[in-house]
Amino acid sequence: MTLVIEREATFVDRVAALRLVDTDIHNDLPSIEALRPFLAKKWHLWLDSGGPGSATRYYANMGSGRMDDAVNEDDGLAAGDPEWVVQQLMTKYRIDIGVLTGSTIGLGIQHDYHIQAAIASAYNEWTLATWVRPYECFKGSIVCLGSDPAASAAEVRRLGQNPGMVQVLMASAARIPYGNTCYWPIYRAAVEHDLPVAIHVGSEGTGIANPPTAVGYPSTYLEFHTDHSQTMMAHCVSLIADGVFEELPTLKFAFIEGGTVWAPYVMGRLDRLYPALKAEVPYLKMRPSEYLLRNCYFSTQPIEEPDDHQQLLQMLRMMHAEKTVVFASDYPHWDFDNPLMAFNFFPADLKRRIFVENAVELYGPRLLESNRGA
Amino acid sequence: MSTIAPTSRPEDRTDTLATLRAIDVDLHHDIASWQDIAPYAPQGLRHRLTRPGGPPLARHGFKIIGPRFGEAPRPTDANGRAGHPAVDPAWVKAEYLDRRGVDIAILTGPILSLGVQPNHDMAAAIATGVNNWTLETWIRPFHCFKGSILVAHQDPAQAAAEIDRLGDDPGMVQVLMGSASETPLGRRQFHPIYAACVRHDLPLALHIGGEGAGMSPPATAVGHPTTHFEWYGSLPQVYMAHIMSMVTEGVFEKFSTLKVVLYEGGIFWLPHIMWRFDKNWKAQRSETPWVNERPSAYIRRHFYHTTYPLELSSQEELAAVLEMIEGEQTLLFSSNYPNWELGDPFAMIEGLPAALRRRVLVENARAVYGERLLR
Repeated sequence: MTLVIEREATFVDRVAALRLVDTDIHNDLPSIEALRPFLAKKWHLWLDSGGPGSATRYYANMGSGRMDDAVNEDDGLAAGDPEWVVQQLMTKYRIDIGVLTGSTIGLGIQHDYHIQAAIASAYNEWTLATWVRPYECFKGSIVCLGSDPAASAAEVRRLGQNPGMVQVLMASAARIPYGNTCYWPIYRAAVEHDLPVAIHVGSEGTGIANPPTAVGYPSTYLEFHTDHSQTMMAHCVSLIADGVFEELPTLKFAFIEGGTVWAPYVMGRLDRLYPALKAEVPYLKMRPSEYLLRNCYFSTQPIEEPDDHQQLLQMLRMMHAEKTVVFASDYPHWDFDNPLMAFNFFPADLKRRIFVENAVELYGPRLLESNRGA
Repeated sequence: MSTIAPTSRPEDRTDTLATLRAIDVDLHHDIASWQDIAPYAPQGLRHRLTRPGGPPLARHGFKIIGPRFGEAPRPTDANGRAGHPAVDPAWVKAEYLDRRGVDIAILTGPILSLGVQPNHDMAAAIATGVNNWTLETWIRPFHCFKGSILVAHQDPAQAAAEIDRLGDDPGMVQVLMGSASETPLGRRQFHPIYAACVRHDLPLALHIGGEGAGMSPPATAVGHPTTHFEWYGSLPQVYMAHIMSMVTEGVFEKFSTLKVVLYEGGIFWLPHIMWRFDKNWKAQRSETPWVNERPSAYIRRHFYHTTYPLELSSQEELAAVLEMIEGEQTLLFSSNYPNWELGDPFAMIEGLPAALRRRVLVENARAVYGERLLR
């Protein structure tokens, strides 16, 4: 009994000591060759050909897409070296734990899911070997393919007990909304291993993905990037409406880099519709907003910036940000939000929830476990 | 193609802004039989309207399960059965407008997917037939009804010609397009439609409904939804995509007087897109040097929103969002009659302070549609 109390106190103390958890750090893979040691021999011929062909998008940032001061001039990589990230991000911005989201989120929108699933597994091993095991401050994501739910569920089960991996990660770009039952094997595996599922923007309209909007292709990067949040909203509505959170009440779902304050629209519109339309969705047992507030998390970056800061706080209150919002920097990308600047007008208790406590609730105790056994 | 000369009314209108009680910008009058429309359509395609079941139209298959009309009034036919509540203009005037104190209703009709129908000429012919029929049977005989010039935007040249044909008719107060579209509406191919709107000083109305049908991409940015509930819940995202496109492509730099009314989309997503768009524009504006102002400035100035259905919220939350989007000027009362499955449209605006309710019910619509409303 004494022991249990002591352990709980220790956990609480360790959470209290945390200053900031970053849920979105894009560490870079130096080259596809780096995966060779982690890839089964049968796939090595692919690497000999320079790796699989890759569908890429037209839409290009007006700059490099990265912060200039995040690029190491020696190798041209941004966030390619863990030591660099420790110094330039974690130390400088007082971040204690960073969740790695990497540079291969879009594997699931490439055509050939056989090789891409193999690459995802190798990439996950590379993340563990080069970033997670050597550094206590980094946690990994199990990169998966929405396009191959069976392989993805197997990958989640393969790494699901690894203390260095804190979430399942897929692209928000997709052909079928994420509430669809075809994806449920991935979610069941995640729930079995107490892992949240996160989706991240960026691959919209590329490869096998749906067009980036419900009315086709935008013309410019400005439009494309601003449109990204629509994929998040569509998935969020789908997850609620298809009953995922009724079937799997403990599943936590994180929407990364898709903005935050659209959630009040989803809650308010679905709650308006639900009483009249519930005959169509008899498997739902609660109001739609209750599922959103119980099961969904939203990362801050790029945090919306109204002229009047109070308006952002008003919108955040509507979505119970003190329970649903987590901090993300998106380092080293161009629209990085500086945690020492961007949230200074937030009330201290809300900021604390967003910077630390909500992330601990999203990822669970594993966030604070040692990576030694990873 | 037949044209209809504007005719004068039996007596002049007597109402003024001060006497108006409510303007409903969204009344879905319906077609009892396509046989009624056929005589008003271009002759060569009339036979396609009169085929059993009406003209061939691609549908998406999403459907309300449950009572579709809610508490809307229903006529009773000779056999004692409930009839359709929006096919007889005199009945609609007596049982809805007069009973609820609505002085003017803008007709939006039942056809909201023309812009994604594969046959451009067929779609344009249906638009022409519906427009002429609406004018003759609903608008000419009644002061209280005003019309929307329905166009099929996949053929912008024909759409612009239809606007020019009817654009100065005193019975028509806006141009209406389905928001379902193969491509975002800011693209240059659609600009002749906007030029025609501006030429005739007509607002452009976009209405959800055809998403996922015909040539439309899937109804969300990540594919087809499963249910009507999911489909309808996601539809505001279509407006977001069109707003991004129209602002980014410089539509409002080119057509500085164009007003766009977004139907049935709600408002709680607007703060997010305005603030996200402004933030991105700061960094990426060199890509679109013709976009001279912050995106939110165009959104506030050019877009109008309707009340049915407002998101379910507390009154404080609604007041906060209205302030963020300058809803005092941009929110219009819409009943969506007779589709009241989500509740009574007047109940949705009950919580607004009296002065704001007056703006939403009357003054904002007067500002958008101008003198035509009272002609």
